[in-house]
Amino acid sequence: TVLVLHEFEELEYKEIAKRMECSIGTVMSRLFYARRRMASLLQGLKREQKE
Amino acid sequence: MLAANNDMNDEVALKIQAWVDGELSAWQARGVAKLVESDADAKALATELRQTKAALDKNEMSVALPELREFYWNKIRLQIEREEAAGTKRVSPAASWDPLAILRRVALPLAAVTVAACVAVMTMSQMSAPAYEEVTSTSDDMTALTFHDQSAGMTVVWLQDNSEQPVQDENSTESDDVI
Repeated sequence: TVLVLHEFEELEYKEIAKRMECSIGTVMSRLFYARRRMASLLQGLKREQKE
Repeated sequence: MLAANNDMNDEVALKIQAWVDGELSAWQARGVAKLVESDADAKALATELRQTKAALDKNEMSVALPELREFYWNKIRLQIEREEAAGTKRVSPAASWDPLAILRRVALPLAAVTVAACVAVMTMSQMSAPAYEEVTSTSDDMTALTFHDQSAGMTVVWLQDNSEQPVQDENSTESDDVI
């Protein structure tokens, strides 16, 4: 959800925190781990495409 | 490849992410920019975050969702309703000749005029009613009975002489009869 709100809805951290009713620190950490997860998925996709 | 963030503090990693997203103040951004330039891990993390961001921004496909039939007709219905609502504010030429509409517009003023006319007629009839003088009889032998009909404009006075011969009033044509 955090990733969608930030990347596609283009909301700022504080706006996301307000909507999700959590702290900005929580938003930042969730976004960070979501990006890491996304990066690993994209890497897997690249490997498949190469093969 | 994922950067080795194990050695990097989580707090620093989050700051680098905030710097990439443009969420830091100018002063904080300068500090993180210096760190990214000096530290290889920080630089790798920043690069990776930018690549992930770019992959999501650039590779998003604009998918045209098929419009459902119901949605399509609903749009048309709403448009018609909007136009009708705008159209009722203007009075169409056909509506001005509607007898009911004319009656409604005329009824109230007509009623007011009728009431005013009735009041005027009543007032005038009262004003035009002849004033009659009161006649006082000083005779002890005379008894006077008066009858006044305003609507007919008639006044009858019955005079009775208590002496032997009864006296008739000028208004009556027959003796002892009240007209």
